[in-house]
Amino acid sequence: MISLTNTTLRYQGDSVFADVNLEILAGEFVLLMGATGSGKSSLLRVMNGLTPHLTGGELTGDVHVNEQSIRNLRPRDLAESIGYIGQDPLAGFVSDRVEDELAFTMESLGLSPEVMRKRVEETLDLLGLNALRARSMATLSAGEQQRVAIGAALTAHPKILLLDEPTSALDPTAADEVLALLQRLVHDVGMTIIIAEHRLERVVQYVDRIIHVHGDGRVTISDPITALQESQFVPPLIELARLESWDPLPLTIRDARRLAETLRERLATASPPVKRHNTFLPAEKFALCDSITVTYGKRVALQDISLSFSRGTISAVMGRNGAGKSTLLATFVGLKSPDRGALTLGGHKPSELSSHSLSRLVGFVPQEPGDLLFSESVTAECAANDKDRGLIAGTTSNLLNIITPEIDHRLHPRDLSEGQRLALALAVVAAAEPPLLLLDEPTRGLDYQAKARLGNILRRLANEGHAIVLATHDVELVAEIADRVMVLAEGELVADGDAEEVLTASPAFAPQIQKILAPSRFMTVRDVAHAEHPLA
Amino acid sequence: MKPATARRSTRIHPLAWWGWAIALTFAASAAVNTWTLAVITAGVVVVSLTCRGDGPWRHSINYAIYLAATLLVIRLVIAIFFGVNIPGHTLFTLPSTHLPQWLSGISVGGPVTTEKILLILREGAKLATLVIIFGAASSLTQPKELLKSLPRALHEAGVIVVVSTTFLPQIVASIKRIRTAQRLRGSRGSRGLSLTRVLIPVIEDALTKSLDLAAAMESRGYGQTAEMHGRRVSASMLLIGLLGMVAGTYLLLIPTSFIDFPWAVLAVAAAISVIGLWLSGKNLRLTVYRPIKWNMEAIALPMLGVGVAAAAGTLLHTNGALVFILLLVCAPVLYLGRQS
Repeated sequence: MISLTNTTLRYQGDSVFADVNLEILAGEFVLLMGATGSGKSSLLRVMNGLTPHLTGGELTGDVHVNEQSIRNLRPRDLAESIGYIGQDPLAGFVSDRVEDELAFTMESLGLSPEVMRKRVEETLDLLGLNALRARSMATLSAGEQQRVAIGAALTAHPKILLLDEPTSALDPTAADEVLALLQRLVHDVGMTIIIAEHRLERVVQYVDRIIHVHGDGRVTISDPITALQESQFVPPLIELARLESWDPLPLTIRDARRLAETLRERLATASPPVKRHNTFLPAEKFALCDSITVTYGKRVALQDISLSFSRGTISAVMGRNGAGKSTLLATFVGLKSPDRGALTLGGHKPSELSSHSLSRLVGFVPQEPGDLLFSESVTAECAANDKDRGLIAGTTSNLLNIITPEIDHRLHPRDLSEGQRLALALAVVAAAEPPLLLLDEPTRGLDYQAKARLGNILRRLANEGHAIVLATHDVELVAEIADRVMVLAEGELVADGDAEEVLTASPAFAPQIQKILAPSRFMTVRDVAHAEHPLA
Repeated sequence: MKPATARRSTRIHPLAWWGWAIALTFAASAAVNTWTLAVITAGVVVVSLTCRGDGPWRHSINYAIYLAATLLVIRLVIAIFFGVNIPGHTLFTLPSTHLPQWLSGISVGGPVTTEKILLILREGAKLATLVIIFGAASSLTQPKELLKSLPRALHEAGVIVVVSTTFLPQIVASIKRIRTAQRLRGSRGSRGLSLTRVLIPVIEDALTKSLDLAAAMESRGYGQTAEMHGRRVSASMLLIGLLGMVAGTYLLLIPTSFIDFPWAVLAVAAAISVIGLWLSGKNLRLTVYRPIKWNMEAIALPMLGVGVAAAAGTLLHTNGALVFILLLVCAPVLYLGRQS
């Protein structure tokens, strides 16, 4: 279906990948994995010509789609054979209504109105979008947007779909829906699908083969088990399998549960996982709110919420897209005042403070860390931050060196990897040592190693006495690092407690390890390793 | 929410509403009597309030009414202070100054008469009516459907408008997002400094978003069927046609001796532009999803408008005639008004 022969991509002389040879067969579901910045997206875009046509760069070798070389074809000429869905579906939308969006590709291709009408109806049915047909794009949830983007590509009747991180912005349930939909397309429609994704734990069970972009120029394709055996990036499931030397590697929770029978028996008698709670510091409740209600016009975003964040703990706020997580964060940073109820930060009301004194109490790392950064180099960014906040010169860059020592301070913030940019934003915010640190969806686009590093950083900051709050969909990250978990649904607090209790009680939020080892309460590979080899 | 099909079944071709509105503007220009204007305005407001859809553009009639009222007030204020004095019943007198000789036509202040105010209102009423008619037409038609019914040659311009209407709100949202993020960074620099701090991330964000959009549109085949050859011919024809029309209009308005037939110039130029449009449309193999058809209801609309214009121009100004005109203007309500 797609074959790359001796394909090399260079940007200004530096090769992203070299001499790639691979062939993807019709009807395959293929995962593209690799570290952040390893060239996954570029490789995906090579397959429909967006690289180099749109992005520049020098491509040598040949790419064939349906036995035809695409070297001299523009991506638009391939619209009937390949559908491409980028990382941010909302940015790719052209119309404001679902139905018109589905028709846009066909309008460009000049299909007759009768054919268009028929295909739009078919696609609405296939993807279960009929109820949304007259809705405006802006009112759709992230999962719905992703489904509409897939539908908009499907109406051209392509044989191949390319998707760039389709689930990274989605909550676990919406991600499962999108992946189930893709699997249905492969099984029922015979579609060939290639998907680039970091969250392997969500995807590996569905795919037939894995393309591994090693990051040093090599690209290999193999069956999932071989690929995962070699990879540094593996989901917790595979990590556990490696720890226990299971053979063959299980790819699904179901397989793993079968293999884990003896492990579960051993763990039933083992001492329960140690609590991660920081026991040295008294749990000082720094930020608290007492039955607050927040509304946007008529819409109630938060209803009667009471909770508190203590110093030294990492709390995770979870829930569906649109459940009120961002509003809760916005309320704690003083962007939104509660309509009813009281909210205090260290005894102050955030809405009554100037932005400068507020920034000494609370720090906020937005979902897109680039929102905070404006300087031309890391050095300048750190210096500007010291000056802004009246810190001793060098404070920010020292903190950054502690967080990520390997960062090159001469680089432009845009040229940093996602993980490094997040670290920089975190350093900028944390330098003023605000007792409360809020992070909105920090792991979007981060690979496992970057995520592990982020976890260590946050743990260190918590141990220094910060109260850390994450709004996130990333169950595995929460299982790794959070002490407390709060679950919001429709603006109400439906669960609030120890991470262990909340996560193990919910089927949607249970991490992989817990699913394998239930009913015992182990959630991470580290816990298991600790129980199995206490002295190590 | 009403089911989508129910809303779709009463779709009226947007050009029908505009045809109706344009005919009504003729009616308003033909009307000599302020009462006729008032009746037309009232009818138009009733029609737009009852027949408009539920998109955000439905509010244009409200804005048009505000705009018309503001225009009237501004005219009134300016004319009371400056302007020609009209003899009649003096309401009050403003202190006046004498202007130099070369400004003899204009006076500042002076007596304000009932006749003067009535005259100003009568003159203003026509403008106000036109504004309200245009407001009504835009609240009755979905702008995107209007773009869809434009000639194919203008399709690209239409897409640009459509894309920017979906793209701009995203940029506004990102400005908001970035400003709050920056504020929480505790920036306490001067205003100018904080402007660049917001602008740089906003521009970067906008660039990223536009690249994403370009990638999405490119991979969805946008522009695939636009054939470049023959484009030059149609483009130059359009250009020549437009220049010719400008020249023709100029000749028509300022009679000179060297060309005696400005109308012919205008006609030829218009023909060239139309052919150019048609040619460039022919090069595009684009199609329109669910095009709106001209149905009986739609065809009736401009005809009703022409009826109003004829009535306003010919009928005597009796009460009966006014009621007739009002009914004629409101006629679309009878078959297009909301059932609810």
